[in-house]
Amino acid sequence: MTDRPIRVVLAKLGLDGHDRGIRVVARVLRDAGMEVIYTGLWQTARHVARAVADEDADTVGISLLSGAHLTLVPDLIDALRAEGVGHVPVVIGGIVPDGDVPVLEKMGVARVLGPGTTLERIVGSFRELAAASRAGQRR
Amino acid sequence: MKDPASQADRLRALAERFRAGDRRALAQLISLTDDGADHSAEIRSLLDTLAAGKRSALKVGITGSAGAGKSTLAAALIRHRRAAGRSVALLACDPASPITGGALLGDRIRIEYDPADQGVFVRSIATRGAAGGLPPNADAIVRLLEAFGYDEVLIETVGAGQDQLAIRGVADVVVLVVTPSAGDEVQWQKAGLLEIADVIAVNKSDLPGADATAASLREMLDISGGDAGRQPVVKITAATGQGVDELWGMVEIARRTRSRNTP
Amino acid sequence: MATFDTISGREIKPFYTAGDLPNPNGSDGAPGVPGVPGAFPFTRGIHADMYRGRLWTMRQFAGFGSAEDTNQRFRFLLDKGQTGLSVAFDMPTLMGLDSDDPRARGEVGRLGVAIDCAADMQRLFDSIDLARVSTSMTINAPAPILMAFYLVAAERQGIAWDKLGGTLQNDTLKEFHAQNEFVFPPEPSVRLAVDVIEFCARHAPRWHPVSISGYHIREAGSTAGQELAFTLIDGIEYVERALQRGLKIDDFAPRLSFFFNAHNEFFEEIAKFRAARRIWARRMRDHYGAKNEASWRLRFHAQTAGCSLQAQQPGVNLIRVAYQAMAAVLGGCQSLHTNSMDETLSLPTEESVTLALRTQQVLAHETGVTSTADPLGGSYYVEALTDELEKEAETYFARIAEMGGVVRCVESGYFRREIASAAARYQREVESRKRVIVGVNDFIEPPQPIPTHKADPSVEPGQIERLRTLKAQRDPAKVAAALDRIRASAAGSQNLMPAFIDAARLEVTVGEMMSALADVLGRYKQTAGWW
Ligand SMILES: Nc1nc2c(ncn2[C@@H]2O[C@H](COP(=O)(O)OP(=O)(O)O)[C@@H](O)[C@H]2O)c(=O)[nH]1
Ligand SMILES: [Mg+2]
Repeated sequence: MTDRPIRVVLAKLGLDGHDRGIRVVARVLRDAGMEVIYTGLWQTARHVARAVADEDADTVGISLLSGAHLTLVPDLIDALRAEGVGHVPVVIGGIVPDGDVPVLEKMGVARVLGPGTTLERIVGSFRELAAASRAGQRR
Repeated sequence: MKDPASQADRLRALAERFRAGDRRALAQLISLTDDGADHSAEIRSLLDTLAAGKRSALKVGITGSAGAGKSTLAAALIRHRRAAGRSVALLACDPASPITGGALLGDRIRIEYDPADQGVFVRSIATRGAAGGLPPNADAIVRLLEAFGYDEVLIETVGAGQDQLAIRGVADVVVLVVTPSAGDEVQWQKAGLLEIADVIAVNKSDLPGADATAASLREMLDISGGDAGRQPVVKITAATGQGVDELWGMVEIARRTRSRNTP
Repeated sequence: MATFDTISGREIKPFYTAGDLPNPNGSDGAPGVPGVPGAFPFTRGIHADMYRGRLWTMRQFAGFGSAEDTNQRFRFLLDKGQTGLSVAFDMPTLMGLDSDDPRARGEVGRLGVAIDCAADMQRLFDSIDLARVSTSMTINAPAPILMAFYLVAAERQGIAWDKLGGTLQNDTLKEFHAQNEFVFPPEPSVRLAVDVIEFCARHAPRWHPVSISGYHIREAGSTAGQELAFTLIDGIEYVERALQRGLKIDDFAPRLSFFFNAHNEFFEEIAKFRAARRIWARRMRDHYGAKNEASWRLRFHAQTAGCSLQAQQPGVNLIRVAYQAMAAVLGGCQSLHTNSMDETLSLPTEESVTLALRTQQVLAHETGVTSTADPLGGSYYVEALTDELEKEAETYFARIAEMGGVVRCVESGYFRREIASAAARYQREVESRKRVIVGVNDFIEPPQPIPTHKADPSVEPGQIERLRTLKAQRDPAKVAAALDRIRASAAGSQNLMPAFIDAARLEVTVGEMMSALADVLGRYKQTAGWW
């Protein structure tokens, strides 16, 4: 069971259409052996949560360059809980000012990967979080 | 290392929630079924109890080459079936990289749904070199969806290579999606694609060449069709939903014909 | 290890000689001679006296918060010596949603200014004389509607439309290739763009109704050659569609404008601008038979490459921007935006915007590069690159035509796949450190936080409140009738501009008009070729 590939839902939350970054991340996660479920542009928090639940994802990665993270991330956390997947770790990528990182973490975000994060660190983060999330699930 | 007792407990708990209609239990059981590990026997016996007394679903395979518009068609069918008050599940299968085992599963991009709608379920599956572009336990996953109570189950798979026969094994009706492209008909026939299909959908009929493709397919099938009569060929534009109603009608007819032929 | 191919993967020789010069036919001068600035095919620039006659327009993109907030920033920039305005709209406006739409949550006034209706546009330009300032508006899917707001705002200032100067981006094709701010499917999107071109040719002859944009294509990771080819083929597509409407080439071609990226690869960028002018001039004169010289001249705005900015050591971005800006000027741009050093981190602060503008002023007034037109003309290297880029573009044009044209290639995902594979190659080169990026994969230093712009959380509720009040004050029957008229025009083949303008006068909002349009035109999900 531990061999089952890590499943990651990747989504663009909100209205911005900049997908160059999330595309790169999708590719490297795939090349690292993960199953990457991409849900497309313009997702709402509830759509993402539904995808995480039905796809039984181990982690969810959100790309958001619109600066709306302080509004949209709490919506997402609530939606994940409502779908019964509040335990799934949330990774936020995109433009997040340093000062907002602790705020997001307090809301329940597992990792914030700002601009300039290496691809290695991105892969490592998803791997660690997925492992932790599965271990927690089995207990 | 897993403890067999706790594994059995876990399955039991999941089955309990599954029976109570908890979609998360369905999602998790699919993961357990899909991981190809040694507990598939346990899951199969569990399935027998879960499925007991349940109505069977109409299972429709959607096959065709990458980019033909299978996901777009699946999305259109979901809309069509929801509008008719039927609940639908979609199993979208895409190949994993044989080297890394990783996969990019992008079929959800095309599916529009109301996140509050309990009557839709979409699951993306990576297939690893298994026959027919289906996961090894595809039949069990489909039975899970059926046992959960979906009226209709759509199975999207890339019908590549020689081994698409597997879709025949799980679907009641197979729809082959092709696109207008002069001269490819012979290739489809050679590849044996036409044989496995019950209905052939010429998608992207908003583009030039759809009429010609449909006509030459019909001609080809008339020659090879024999007594059984040839399979219906229908032009659709999955992107707008045009022709989807007609296509669904043919799917239902094909199901009746098939169930007569295979008692 | 050092590398000797460009960031676009073009191989560069150790040195260039007369043997590398192109052999342009006829009008470009004698073989090997690139001709003179201000003459066909304008490789060397569209004016003989170039910046001696008139400097480029220094146009910094700005917009955030409410119409009042941005109005203040505009006046600040005009005060500092900026010569044109450029409006950045917020994401909901760009996607054609009203500020009170649930999907707009958290994004109102965040990355640009929130404009819902003509009254907002009027407040945006309060005390700014629209007859005297030239305004650029970066907006695409809802461009015709925002144009209608602008025309109504001018009307309310008592200014005739034929006095208005400025540019509407209005280039929906590149949204499908790169930027992802499309709403309607490709065909109706192009139709809407051409509606504005047609309308302006008749009623706002000084306005540039479209800014055919390669900038975003490049930002998505394309090569210089792809940026050039895809932008020009999009331009040709608009021309074809306008001609199909029965417009005469010389009635609208002089008002077409372009928008390119000014990236790091100094000489290749200059060559790209030069090649663009030459290709366009030949097409307009030789293929479309344009008689008016203004139709032959490709005018362009340039912006330094946002994607080249790095979060690490943001001060270094100032240096990148300066070189990129110099490439744009040596390439003969008509207007220029220089990015601020902190733009990867947040909206720019006033200090960083000022520095970015100062960069242009130093270029214009201190470096002397403006003293003569096309100072690099005749350089073996630059002329050879110009020629290569032109050939590369022509190869793409032929391939796209073979595949059924621009709209087909959008639908099949061709553009996106081409761009994605170029972006992936570049990414690998950076990862493997084949390409050095200062502060990122070499010369690394510990992070140094810099002050960033703080968004004002009261903007969104304020804008929603104002919008609700406005909606309540309108006559619902009139609004409904205006929207019905939009639906009816959309279902037919009439130009939609008059219906938008009449609706704008009634303060019908952008979100209302867009959803009326979507009822008829449909909405587009995502193009193919995602990976
Ligand atoms: N013109 C046209 N394009 C379509 C149609 N259906 C699907 N497409 C496009 O074809 C591409 C591939 O579609 P998709 O459903 O992902 O194909 P799949 O790989 O078979 O699942 C997408 O760009 C769709 O927008 C159609 O009816 N007409
Ligand atoms: Mg698909």
